[in-house]
Amino acid sequence: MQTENAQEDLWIPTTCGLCYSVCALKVHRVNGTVIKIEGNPESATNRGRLCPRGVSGIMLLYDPNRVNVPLKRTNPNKGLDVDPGWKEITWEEAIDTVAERLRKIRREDPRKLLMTGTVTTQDEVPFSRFFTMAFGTPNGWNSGAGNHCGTAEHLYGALLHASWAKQPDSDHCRYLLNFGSGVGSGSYYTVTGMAQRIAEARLRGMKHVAVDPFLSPSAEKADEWIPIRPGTDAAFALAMLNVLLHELNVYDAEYLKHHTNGPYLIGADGSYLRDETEKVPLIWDPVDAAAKPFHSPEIKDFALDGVYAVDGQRARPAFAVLKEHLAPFTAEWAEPITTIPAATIRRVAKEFAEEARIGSTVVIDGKALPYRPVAVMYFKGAQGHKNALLNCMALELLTEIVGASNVPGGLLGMNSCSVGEPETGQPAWIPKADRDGLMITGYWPSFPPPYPPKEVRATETIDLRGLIPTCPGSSGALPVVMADPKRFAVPYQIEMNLHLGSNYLMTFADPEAVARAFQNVFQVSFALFLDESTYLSDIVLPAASYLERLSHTADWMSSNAAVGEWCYHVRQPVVDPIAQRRSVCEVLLELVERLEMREEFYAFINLLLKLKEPHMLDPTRCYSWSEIVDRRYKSVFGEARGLEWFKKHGVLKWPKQAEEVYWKPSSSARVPIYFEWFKTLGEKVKAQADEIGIELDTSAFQPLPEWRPCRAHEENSPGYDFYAIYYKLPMQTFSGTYDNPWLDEVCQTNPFAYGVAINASAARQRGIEEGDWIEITSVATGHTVRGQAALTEGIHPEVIAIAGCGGHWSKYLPIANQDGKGLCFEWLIPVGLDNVDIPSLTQDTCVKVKVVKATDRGSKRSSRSSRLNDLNHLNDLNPG
Amino acid sequence: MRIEVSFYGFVRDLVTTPKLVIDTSDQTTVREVLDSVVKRHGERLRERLLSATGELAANVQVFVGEQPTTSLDQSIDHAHDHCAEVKVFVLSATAGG
Repeated sequence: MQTENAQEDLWIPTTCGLCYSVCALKVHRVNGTVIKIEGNPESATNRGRLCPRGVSGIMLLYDPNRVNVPLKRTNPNKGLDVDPGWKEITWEEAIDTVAERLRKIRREDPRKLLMTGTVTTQDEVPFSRFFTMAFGTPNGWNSGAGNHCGTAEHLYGALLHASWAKQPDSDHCRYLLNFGSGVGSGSYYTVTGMAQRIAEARLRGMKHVAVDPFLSPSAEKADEWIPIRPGTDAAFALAMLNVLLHELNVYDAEYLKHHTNGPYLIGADGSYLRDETEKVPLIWDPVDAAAKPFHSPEIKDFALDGVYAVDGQRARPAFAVLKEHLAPFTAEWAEPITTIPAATIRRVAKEFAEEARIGSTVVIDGKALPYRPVAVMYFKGAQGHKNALLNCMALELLTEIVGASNVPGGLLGMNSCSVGEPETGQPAWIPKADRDGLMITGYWPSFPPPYPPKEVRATETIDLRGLIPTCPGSSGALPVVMADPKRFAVPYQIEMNLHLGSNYLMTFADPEAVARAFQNVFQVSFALFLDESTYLSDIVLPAASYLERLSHTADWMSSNAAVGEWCYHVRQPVVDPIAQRRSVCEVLLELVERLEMREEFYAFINLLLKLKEPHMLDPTRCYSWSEIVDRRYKSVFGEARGLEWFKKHGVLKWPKQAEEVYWKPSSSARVPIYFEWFKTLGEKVKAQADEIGIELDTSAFQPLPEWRPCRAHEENSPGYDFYAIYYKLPMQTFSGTYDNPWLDEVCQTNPFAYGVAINASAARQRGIEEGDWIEITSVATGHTVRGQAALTEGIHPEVIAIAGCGGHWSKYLPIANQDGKGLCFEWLIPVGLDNVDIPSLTQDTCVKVKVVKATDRGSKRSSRSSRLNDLNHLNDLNPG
Repeated sequence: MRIEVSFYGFVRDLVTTPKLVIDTSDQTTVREVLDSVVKRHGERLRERLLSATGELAANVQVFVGEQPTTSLDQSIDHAHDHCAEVKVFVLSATAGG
């Protein structure tokens, strides 16, 4: 559009809301119409870059298929393909209906309310949590991420890095060993900024080794791709650890002595030996030949090896126990599990050991710091398995053993330590140590942090997290418990779901099973589109998109890169909400008044947003949404930098200090290399589960890693000879963006985006050629999905890979619901605790499938009932 | 001393009246106040607020006036006009991902 005749011609700073990266935007508005979106070069987060999603936001804003008016269901029957019979209603009627329901539930039992959210509404989710907390329910589910959530990875983020997520030190890393994460490619955190940083790191000589079943968008940018059988990453890592400790004798003794629990003495029962007086863990001082409390100022040295007698008990340092534990896991042991030659494992271990440069230092900001330029990254690919807890533990230990954790060159928390903005000293947090000397996060975006261990209780929540408090993310148990709460001794049924844009039917597992859990729930959806999950809704409210709404918190802990500058942004409306769309937060404020819960709600806002006088909310008066946002900014950044300042400037940034980025050398908080408390916790979980009367396999609660097969590894049904995996596309976010015409166009240029990646040789052996329609049938659910084969040598021969969350079927998504627009991987994954890693409640996302050439295109999926006749060996399809 | 106890959050299924008033001696502790509240509302409230070892549960925050307390043995003896306010927040665990 030519702008020479414009009366208005503005570039407005705000932030993208199409994934969790919070990239900064400049939005060009001419005469009230958005005509372009660019990256904001002022921001350190994305440094002016945008991914296809960010650019395409304009199409989301003006999409003719957006929900523009409140709707109510007229069809009392609910189901995956049952038309709700939408009828337009007024906002007044909608709010009246919702308020009446909420009032009834709050009076009877507020726990019957659930709230489901997702990453594209993650600025609204925290505020909605304040609402549900004040309401009195413990139930919330970030279901838009669903099985794409990092879950167990986040747990170790807390335990080892004091952060939700991690990144390699892109300024100094020289060897990135990447087990299936999308770092630097278009997914994972700070996506566009990190893509640039990783590219720069490679230019200065960093080697990127991708261990991944598929030559994914990330792996294809690596220097070396090592195809691995899905779910066997721990075996690779354990063999590397074996090579490091038993063949190369490489480990960072100084780091292990002073920054881990490696010297803590472990007794015969697997627990710490503790001193009589303070009950704190003991270490062995080899100079004085005596056991001493770990924090004693009298310690002259820490033993990492040996066997010692302490008060008649035989004990060894945790590091020695770990080393012995690793002895059987040789490269030859790992080869048949991973399908990676032992020689390759040894070579990678040797390269990793050499690049770790143990003993070397580097001077940054005038301080000499340990220099360990190696990092081990992983995310959903390696951890989305039934063996998630132990898989992740093995991978993390690689970083810890060579001392590459939160030091220059290594693996960095995002962002573990903040001393605050120079003028106000806020926001500030710093990791601290508990009585055992182990690290507690300084800040954690969820609540409470995973460590110290929490009470194990009969589960009061609908996601089993009371019983299993080590789940930090999206619980794989929620649909199971919701379907049968009595079985889990949950004393209520969910009656209502406040549903914030999460298309949970397409992001978790078998949509039929998930729908069964939700179909008797009164669902109120704040929706951009009438997607699949709104088929189960009773009321749909037209939500304002991120370009139409104000947010109190565009940024969060992991929206800043680990290195560089701190950067805080604004998310402001660049146009007024179109039609009858409204901001979720503003609607919630109205509901607060209707429900007469202002006093409780404001109390939570004051507490959780850390509002300070004179900006705390006074319950004797009613505040607008913009007033609350203004008070939040002023409480953190001072009187002069309220909402108006941020609306004008868009970005507040300042340089990170070396001790914030590389905080470990100066921290007294130790991290575990021996997860002693897991064992005790598992025993408590088991006892509680037995009391409730549910069978749980808690054996994975153990202090040291091992590789355990997933269900798929033990599945030998004839014909089911492929592992199906999914991966994230750089141009789509979960199931929320597939109807965007620009993103659709991009996807059509990539045969893998909507197709099924299959090894060319394996395909041809089955008579499958490029572009052929194939049927993929899950051994676990019996469901079949169809897609077009995309043949490649860049995939493990035992694997097929499906991208993202395509395969929509909602009739209200006219682009996404067409045949050939991707597959819904979730049809292949069963719902049930036997498909979940119990300690982290992580959903297993690999499954054995049968792949055959389709005789015709048919529909994009078919019922499992016809398939079950020849799957009579399956007796575990039902939840549980 | 007159103490007003206010409850916020995941406790409304147990405490139907979010505010209640307790009359105690002039020297009392947070623990004694909570004991008194539990007597009125039942042992399930104790299980919600306290750990098995009798400490505050990880998701519970207690304020005496505007000051957060970490110890149940903190005395409530700096009240104005023999009145004090105790706020008990029971936070819900939130999930990420």
